[in-house]
Amino acid sequence: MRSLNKIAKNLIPYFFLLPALGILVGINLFPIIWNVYFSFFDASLLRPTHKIFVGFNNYLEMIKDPVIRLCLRNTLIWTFGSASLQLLIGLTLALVLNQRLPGRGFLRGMALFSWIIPAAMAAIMWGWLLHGELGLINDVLMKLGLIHTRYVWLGDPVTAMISLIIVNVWRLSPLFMIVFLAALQSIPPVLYEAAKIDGASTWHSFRYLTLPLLKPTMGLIFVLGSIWTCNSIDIIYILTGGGPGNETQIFATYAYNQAFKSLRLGYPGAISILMIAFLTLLAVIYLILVKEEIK
Amino acid sequence: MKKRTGKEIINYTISYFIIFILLVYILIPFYWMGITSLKRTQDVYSYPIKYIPDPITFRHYIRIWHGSPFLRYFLNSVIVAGCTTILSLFISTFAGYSFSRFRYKMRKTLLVYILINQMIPAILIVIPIFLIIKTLRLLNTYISLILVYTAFTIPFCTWMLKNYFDTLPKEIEEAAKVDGCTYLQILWKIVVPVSAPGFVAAGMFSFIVAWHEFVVALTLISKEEMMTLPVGLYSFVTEFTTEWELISAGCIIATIPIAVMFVILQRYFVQGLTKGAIKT
Repeated sequence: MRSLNKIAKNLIPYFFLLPALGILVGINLFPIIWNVYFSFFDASLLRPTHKIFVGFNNYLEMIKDPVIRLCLRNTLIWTFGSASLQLLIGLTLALVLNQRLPGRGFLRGMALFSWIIPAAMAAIMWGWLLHGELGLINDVLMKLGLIHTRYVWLGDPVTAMISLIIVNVWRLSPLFMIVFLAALQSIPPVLYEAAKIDGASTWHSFRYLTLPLLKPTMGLIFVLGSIWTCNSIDIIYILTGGGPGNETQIFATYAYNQAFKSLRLGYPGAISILMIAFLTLLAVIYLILVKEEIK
Repeated sequence: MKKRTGKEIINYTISYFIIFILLVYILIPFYWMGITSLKRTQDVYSYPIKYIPDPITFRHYIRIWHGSPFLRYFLNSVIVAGCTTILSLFISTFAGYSFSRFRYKMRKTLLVYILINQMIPAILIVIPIFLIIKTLRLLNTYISLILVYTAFTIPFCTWMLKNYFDTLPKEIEEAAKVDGCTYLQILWKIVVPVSAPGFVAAGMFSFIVAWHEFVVALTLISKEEMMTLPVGLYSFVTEFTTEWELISAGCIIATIPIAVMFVILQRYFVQGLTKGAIKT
């Protein structure tokens, strides 16, 4: 009787985990396995039961598909371009707003603004800002004399990608700021006082004290930001849909369009596997960095 | 009062200059959205572009609230985000408590497994989810969105609540155990009532995730009366006759609940975030 009780008691923590694990397995793990399975078949989205086994054909198609090469380039630019700029702006905001400035709390609140608007609506609003004829950006740049005619920013491959990154950076930089503020506040002020007594200038204490102490946080948030960005499609889907042509297509938008515009099932499955590989790489880096955090 | 040195004044000037530039970048879409929503329709579509709406009109706010399905989108978003928050907090409380108070064989593995889920993007699962939901005949229902969003938020909420529970003293719980309380009683009567900051932060996170989500809602919802705000407003953007003044008003209204929540709960949120997610 006692041993039975003990077994039951040992199972309690597992019971507590059961609902969480159930939902995560059903909604996250199962669909991913499903993707792997379907990447070996060809089927239509409308009739998924009529599937034909095609072996590695989807993967071979991927190697030959010129759009995939574009996607690889664009995904790398989109992901690391965004993450680098977010790091830069987030860190700048945090450093400035960590000082004892009058109005600091208010300014911090304002800096968080872009994070509270849904990504889809942010994309819609930026589309209106960048509007070719009536947009504010064109008007301001013309008034400043920087451009002479109104420009369709999302119609040109290069400026379209830059615009998309600007929108994405706009949205996530405040989150980077919060993280950096937390990290800055965890640095004991005693260290700065000691540095000051030793005659260190502001620049020196930043270069040799703040920066090295922030390094782990930077690595962590850079990888995390890359993970958030590399497969987020809201902004690209709404603003360019991957266009012009496929010039701003990333793996994620391409897979989505293949499924819901071309109504294919196997091929997007194969693209998903590629995305998982990319994501796994980032996740492994992240887990190595975060390892010390899990006790 | 200490007299400000020249160096300090220079430092202040540079700081305010940097912050001014960055705040212009951060706030300019809100400014544009705000003035567009207050301009008369003919002023929105004519040159020269007005930087201050003159005359101001609130017509678009009244029109979008009464004369369009916007109110329905708004209610749908409230229902979906509200239910997601409750379900996610309920499930994550158990999971977080399990990780915080018990030591068992698979603990570390399971914790890592749950955290990995945090990184799974919607796009990877949305195609199979669409087929599963279609097979279950649950397309265009609240429950389909609530289930998916709950899965999105469980990892972060669990992690945050676990870390919050870690900071609570264990003595009271041990005393309760000696007095014969079950783990369920301890959890609901002792731990939950003192964990408000943890719940506020995790709950706000869940609500925001559900309020913001676009791709899954775009895929699972096609009926207009079931659309949530992001998808509903996106349906206002069409190739030819996009009414930007109406969309601007809609975006402003849609952002207000989150903004209000943020202002009221900011202290808890940042505290919870820094305590829970980014352990220092």
